[in-house]
Parts: sequence; structure tokens; C-alpha cells
Amino acid sequence: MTRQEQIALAVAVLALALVPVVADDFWLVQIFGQSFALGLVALSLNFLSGYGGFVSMAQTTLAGCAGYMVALTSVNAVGKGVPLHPVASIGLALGVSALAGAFVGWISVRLHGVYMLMLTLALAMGFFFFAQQNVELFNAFDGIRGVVVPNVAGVSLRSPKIFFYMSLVCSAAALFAVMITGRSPFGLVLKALRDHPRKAAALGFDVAAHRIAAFAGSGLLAGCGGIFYTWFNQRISASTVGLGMINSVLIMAIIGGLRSPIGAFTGAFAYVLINTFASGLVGAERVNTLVGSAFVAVVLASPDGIAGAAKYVRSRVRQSSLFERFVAQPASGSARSAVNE
Amino acid sequence: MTICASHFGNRPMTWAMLAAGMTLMAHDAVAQSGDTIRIGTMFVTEGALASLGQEANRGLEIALAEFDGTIAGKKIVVFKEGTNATPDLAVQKARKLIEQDKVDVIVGPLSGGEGLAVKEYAKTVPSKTFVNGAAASQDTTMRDPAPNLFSFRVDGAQMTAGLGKYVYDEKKYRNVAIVAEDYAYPYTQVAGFVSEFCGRGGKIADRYWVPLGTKDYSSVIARIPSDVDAVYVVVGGADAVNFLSQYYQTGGKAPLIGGSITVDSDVLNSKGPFRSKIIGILSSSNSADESEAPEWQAFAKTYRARFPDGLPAPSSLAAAYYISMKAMLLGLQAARGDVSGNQDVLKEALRTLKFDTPTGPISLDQNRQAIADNFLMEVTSRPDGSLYNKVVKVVPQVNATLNMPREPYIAMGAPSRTNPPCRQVGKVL
Repeated sequence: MTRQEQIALAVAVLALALVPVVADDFWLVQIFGQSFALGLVALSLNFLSGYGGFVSMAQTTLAGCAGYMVALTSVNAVGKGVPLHPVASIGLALGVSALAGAFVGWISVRLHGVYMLMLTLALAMGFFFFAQQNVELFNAFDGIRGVVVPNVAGVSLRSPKIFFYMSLVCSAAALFAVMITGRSPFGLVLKALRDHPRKAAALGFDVAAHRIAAFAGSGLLAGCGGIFYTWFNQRISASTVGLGMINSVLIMAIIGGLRSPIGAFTGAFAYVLINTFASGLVGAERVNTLVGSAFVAVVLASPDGIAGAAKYVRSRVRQSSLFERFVAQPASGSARSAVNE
Repeated sequence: MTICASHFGNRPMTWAMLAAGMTLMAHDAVAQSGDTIRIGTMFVTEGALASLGQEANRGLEIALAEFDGTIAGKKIVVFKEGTNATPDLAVQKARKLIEQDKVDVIVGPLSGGEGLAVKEYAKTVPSKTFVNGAAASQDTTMRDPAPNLFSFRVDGAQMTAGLGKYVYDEKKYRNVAIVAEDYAYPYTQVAGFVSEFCGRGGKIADRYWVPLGTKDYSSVIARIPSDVDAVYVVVGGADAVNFLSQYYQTGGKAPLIGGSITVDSDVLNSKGPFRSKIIGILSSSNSADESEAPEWQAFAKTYRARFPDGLPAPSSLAAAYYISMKAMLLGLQAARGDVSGNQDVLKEALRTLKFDTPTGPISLDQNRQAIADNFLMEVTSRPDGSLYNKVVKVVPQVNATLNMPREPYIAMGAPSRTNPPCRQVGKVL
């Protein structure tokens, strides 16, 4: 992570930190809070596919594991589970999602491409159908409702500003961690596994261990998102880990751009905006038509998503003669070009 | 190639989105005004129950048209949201309507699981008023109700009133298997049927629960015992079409008894070879396609005139949303459009509201749950070959406990896969 990137991330976080000055509670929680929660889940997919080339459809399930765990260890309206201290509850939830991530990684350790996609999808659907039919633990279709979000010093973590800042800080930290990992030896090995697994293995890297560790890490990221999403809805049910949600997370990751970690959050934000306001634009019956059209438009116009499009526009602007003449310094103009990134 | 792209690449996008966001926020502040009444409504537009949502929309449009867009000089603005029958999305949509669209009141949701979820949400915004759309799960109002939620829609159990007794006495069924969707509304319908049928002395062979949105019923159909007198089927929308097609394709012999949306007008008018086989199926609901009542005839006439592409007769969901929306509008009228503060005037007006609907007079009990007539019907063929539900019997003014003593009824506990058990009790309807 370069110094420039660090400054940019800091500026973006600071700008977002000022949002509560102008935004009402709806925007803080329903738009930004939800975007951060879903963005974390999309980030876990982005991390796996961007670095390792693993397209996992089970990320929503990992988030769901953490979500169900936090719901079952909180006070809830259906009387399932055992209420625990919030710290224990969150710790357990993250532990479960990381373990589940490692499990998915272990199961799919030898698979690539579409085979990995199918297997992780099968695991995810298995979990969905189990959650939908198991009454004893998951309370089936109706799920765990009325989940009470813990109080800290008398203030509910679900109060809009607290929830906004908490999810913002967690998202920024996760983004930072993912970008650091990208430059770390571990991240470089993942990229080697993506580009040429057999060569990497021949060089002595333990392919299986790295893959399982990457999945466990992605489970941790998804778990954070799952906890926030459960607190956001104050409930969780099978539909939270269903095919619709799995698709949505994939759509977010793709329209944001799979090649850049921040794409997960721009994608989630774009998706939440469309999903929330589409009914006002095109009517209640045509929301999915709009989401689908936006998805197709982004994929057609810019395969690297919103992040890729922004990068493309910037490089074109830098290359244009107007930019050279009026903005760029003659000496550094070509050196700063984004083309070589 | 670097995977971890520079953040500068995304910054313009981030700013653009922020700017777009701020614009929307500013727009919202302007849209607020004191001379309007903002009504939010939600119904299912996706998944197995989507066709029911279409009918719901037709029903509420008819009610809105009756009031010509104004109440007490205030303009009515309606915000519609679509759901997929899952409780998660229902809560998100309700929250969006209240917080973003700043609606004063909500009419909805449609499905039973959604009803329980929206009830929990309603408790967190006690100043707003909710009128249930068509959610027919019992605990939308019976246990742990929200004081600001009013249900002019009968619940699933009320919609079975008279059915268990009728099939026991008239059809002489003694041993019935149950196939139902696995969520709160079918639990409630089964609870109503079981308490009455078993109360007379009937036996339940087994209860089979299928997930909402199931496409393949062959494994369930194969497990239905061959010696049952009938099968009580509580599935709706696309699920009902699938079940009925597959039941007759696989040679199902036992006669069927329909839940309230299993053979409603919406299913009867869908395509499929099962249509010739389902004539004679008995069912019960809060409305009847060809009711003789002049109010229903007038409603059906308006429906057909307004929606030429609709069904030959409005379905029970069209009736339910018509009644729910009309109740809200009548309440607002009685409150002279006052939706300020705690909306106490409106809430009091709804609590005491009693009006004649296309399905008979409706009023509320102490838990703000509808007391209404119930219809037993039989699928019948019109001369032109189309199907409709012919009224067999009307059970007048059924309350939430099926006119049984209230305390013991509530003490039976929330309906579930196994509750209530099949027991013969002393007193039945």
C-alpha cells in the first residue's frame, strides 16, 4: 500500500465521517450502514477472487453463520439460543464464520473456476435449505426475529450514529487489512496461486494451507458483515442466506469491480441505492428489472465494474491533449499516467 | 498488473455518489408538506406469491379510486413497495416507507411471515398507524400484539371456520392428511382446521410441511398414506398450481380440501391440465367469487370495469387489500385527515370502525383483529367452462378464537408445525 493510497483512504474515511452532519437517520443506517454491512460481505468475495482467483458463492453463507450466531447469543423474540455477553457473542460469531470459511476452503481445496463456483453454491444452498427447515435452532422460514442489539454504556449500538460510525470504522479497517494483505508475502503467494498454481506448488508453497487460510480470512470479513447486517435488520432468517442474497452479493462485487477492494463498497453502495429507490422510479413490480439492467449495463460497458470504469476514464483524461496542455506538468505527465498500473 | 488498484482511481466515483446522495437527501426535505396524507403500502411482487400481490394491488386501487385522491381536503399520496414474501425484506421496505418516504400510515404486508416481522417493527414506531394488508398469521394480532397495528383482515384460522365441521359432518371424512407450506400463515390455517376437525372427532394421518416456493412435490405426494379420506392442502400462488398439477399427474386419488389460497380465483384461472380435475374441491375463505351479496356484486363489477385484463372475479387477496385500504381511508376520514403527533384520533377511529364490506360487516375485537363472515365454497364450472368457487355455506361473524372461549384458545400457544395437536375438545363452533 503506497503512501498515496493511505492518504486517499484516510481522506475518503474522513469525508464519510462527516456524512452524519447532513444525512438523516434513514441515510445513516438504511443506505450507508447497509452498504457497509453488505460491502464487507462483497469484500470477502473480492478478496478471494481478486487475489486468489477463487470465485466463492458461499460468502453470504459465511456471513449468515456469524449472523445466526450473534442472533442466537443475543436476547431475541423467539426465545432461541442463550444470551451471552456482547463480547463473547461477537467473538463466537466471528470464530464460527472463520471456521466455516476454513471448512469451505478445505472442501473446495482442489477445485478451480466453474467447479469451485458450483461446489460453493451447493454448500450455500445446503445451508439455506437446512436453515429454512430446521425449527429447533434456526426457527425455519420465520427465522430469529426481534434480535436485541447490545447496549454499551447505556447507548444502543443500533442507534443511527453509533451504528454508522461502527460500520464505517470496521469497513475501513477491513479494507486496509485487505490492501495490506495484497502486498504481504501471504498475498503474493495467493496471487501466484491464481496465476499459476502448479508453478507455485513446484516452488514449494503449500497450496492447500494457503487456500484454506485465505478462505478462513474471508470468513472473518464476511462474518463482520453478517453481524452488522443482523443488527441492521434486528432479525435474520433463511432468506438472508438464500439464493437472492447470494446473487445480490455477487452483483455488488461485480458492478463494483472485482479487481479492486474498494469496488466491493462502491458496488454495495450502488446496489443499495438502486434497490432502495427503484420502486419510486420504475414502480414496485419492476425493481429487479432495473437492478438487472444496471448489472448488464455495467458488465457490458466496463467488465471491471465501476472501479474499472473510473480508472479507464481517468487514464483517458490523462492521455488527452487537453490534460497535457492545461493540467499535467510536462515533466511528470507521462510518468503519472495510470496506464502502467 | 496490480490487483490492488490505487484508491485515486475510485475517488471521483466516490465523490459523485456522495454528491448524488446529498441531492436525494435535499430533494426529500423539499417533498415534505402539511397538506398531504402520505400512505405507504406494500405487497408481494416476487416469488411464489407474486400473482397474489398483483390482485392486492388491484384491490387497493379500487379503494383509493372511491375516495378520489383526497380526504378532508388533504391530498392522498401513495407510496408502493414490492416484497418477496420474506420477513427480512418486508421490514426493510416498511422502514424505507416510514423513514425515507415519510409516510404517515402503512397498509400491508401481504404474507403471514411478513406480518409477524412488520408487527415487531411497528412496535418501534408507536406514533405511526399500521393497517394489516392480508397477513393472516395468527400472532400478527393475537399474542404480544403491537398497539398501533389494526387488522381488518381475518387470520388464517378464522378463514377455516366451519370447514372442519362441514367435512366431518357432511363429507364424512374421518382421517385427513395435511400438506402445507412451512411458515406462519399455513400454520395458522392448519391450526384452525385441526382444532375444529379434531374437535369433532376427526384424525390427522400426518402433517407434511413444504418450503414456500417448492417446485417439486413428488416426494411429498408419494408419502401421503393411501387410506386417507382426504388431503387438506394449504399452498398458494405458483406453489398451488405446481402441487395440483403434480398431484393429479402422479395419480393422486384422495379428494382434496383447499386452503384459502389453494383454489382461489387466481389459481382457478391459471392454465394447466389439473383444471378439469379440481371441480368439487371444497375450500374456505374470507370472500367468495360469486357471492350473491349486492356489495360483492358491485365490487366485482367495478373490478371488471377497471381491470379488463384481470380475473373473471376478484380473488380473496383483491378483497382483502380493498377492505384494508378502505378501512384506513375511512379511519382517516373519521379523523378528518389528522395524522399529526401520535395519531390518536385516527387510532381511535380505526378501533371503533365498523363498516359493510363486499364480504359482509367487519369490526375489530379487543386485539384489533377483524371479526368477519367466512365462506365455505366448492369449485364449480361455469357454462363457458371457466371455474369459480360457489358458496356452500356462510359462517357469520367469526372472531379470532373461532367463537370458542378466548382464554383457553389463546393458551393453546402459537400455531406451529405440531401445535395444536389433534385433540377432541368439548366445545366447537
